[in-house]
Amino acid sequence: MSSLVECRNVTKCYVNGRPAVYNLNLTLEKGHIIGLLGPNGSGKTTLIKMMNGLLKPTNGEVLINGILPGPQTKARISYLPERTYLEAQRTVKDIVEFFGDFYEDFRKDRAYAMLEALHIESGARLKNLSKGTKEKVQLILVMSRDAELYILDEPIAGVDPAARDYILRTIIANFNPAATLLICTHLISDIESILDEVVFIRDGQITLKTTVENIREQQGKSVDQYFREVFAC
Amino acid sequence: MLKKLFVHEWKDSWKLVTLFNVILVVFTIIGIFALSNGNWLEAVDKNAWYASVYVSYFMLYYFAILALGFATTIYFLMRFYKNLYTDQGYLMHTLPVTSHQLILSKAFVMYIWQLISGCVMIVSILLLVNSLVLGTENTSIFKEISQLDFADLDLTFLDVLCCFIVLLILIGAQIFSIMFGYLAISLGQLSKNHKLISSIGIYVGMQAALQMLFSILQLGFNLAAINMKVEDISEGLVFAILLLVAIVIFAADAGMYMGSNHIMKNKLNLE
Repeated sequence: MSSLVECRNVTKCYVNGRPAVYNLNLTLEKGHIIGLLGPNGSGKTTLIKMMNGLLKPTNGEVLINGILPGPQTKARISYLPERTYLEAQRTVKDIVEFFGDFYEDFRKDRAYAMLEALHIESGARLKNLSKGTKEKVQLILVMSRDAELYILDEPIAGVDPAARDYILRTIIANFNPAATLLICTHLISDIESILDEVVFIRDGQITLKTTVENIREQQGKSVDQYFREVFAC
Repeated sequence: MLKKLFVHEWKDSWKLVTLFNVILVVFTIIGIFALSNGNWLEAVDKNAWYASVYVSYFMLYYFAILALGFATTIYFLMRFYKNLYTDQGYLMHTLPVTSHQLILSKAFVMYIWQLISGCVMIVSILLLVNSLVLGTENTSIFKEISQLDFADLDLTFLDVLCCFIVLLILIGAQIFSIMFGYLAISLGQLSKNHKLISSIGIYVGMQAALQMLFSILQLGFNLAAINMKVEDISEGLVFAILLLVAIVIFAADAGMYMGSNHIMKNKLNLE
């Protein structure tokens, strides 16, 4: 199977010296839904930022479809950061148009349909929306693209359980089987049902990469239970 | 992509900067009506209350002029910081564009607005002065300017070239002010904590260093000119000095641009 993401001996050190990611090797293939799981400070967000070209590795390289992160890879990756990153003065419609202008693979009709389903007014200004609604808007924008790689950092953390179900259904419904979806979250039990594979990360290194099926068969546990056992404090 | 970035930057910023300019235009219109009216000016001479209104107006006008220049610069530098180095950077830096395009689109919009604000200021001052002249001398400075005969100036090719280089220096100096701000903001992002405060500190520090450099250069020029007579200063020397200044300014512009781009491309570290 062809690899979409390849991390080769990747190390990332910040100013304080301690590596957030250390000599990490990871390959992600096309057509999978993968959970990137690890405790706080394990290097998940640093790794995701390097895949998106928001950080440069101190050593090693991250390749997306065989090339270093840049404008070409950014056109193929749909990234949802854990933060609210949209300008508060803009309306939802402004932002949909903005995405439509910059991403060739953005589907406006899909975005407006999802906004309508979640009863979000396209004329509303972001500063007037609740935190949860803003997160829904961001997820809609990200999932309205026909990207090759979706990277979602805590996509359901700030929304209510009812909306979570809708969001997970939305992710599945809009997910292109040829694409790869990398989800980073602490709410493992909520997303477990949609995962094909999991990657465990601790102290900036990959400790496990396997299928969800393997965990269930070999450990006799759900991913959530196994995660709690492996990362028990 | 550069065009798209430019269009969106323009759409996001034009309303507030237009408001800054409209405030100055309103001040100017009030002044034109008051100053071109001879009766009103007579009243200022005789009545203390009218005189205090007159002085207050000019003080407010002076502050409006200062505020327009200051607010335009601060507004666009803050946009640069917020869009590219705060949470909004997660969007801007994951667009399929290069760091060059991000910097250039923002610099270009800021440059145009600084130019527009500068023109509004100059026209405003000219109109006010003209109104004052109309109110007292019953003539117009625009009429005087239109009657100027440039053929009388007897300009040589070198004079025209000098004027052209002065124009280049003005353009370069405006770019300098933009790149100076961008570099200070970008350097501030390299610090671990309090990035905005660091940027402001670096900006102030760079300004102080620049002032010191200017003072040293001025001293050098003064010392060199001690034994020089006015007739010794040839057109060729003026041209050479202007050319040198233009080259230094544009080299500094390019250096600061490359510095900002390097930090954005290789040292970006969004919280």
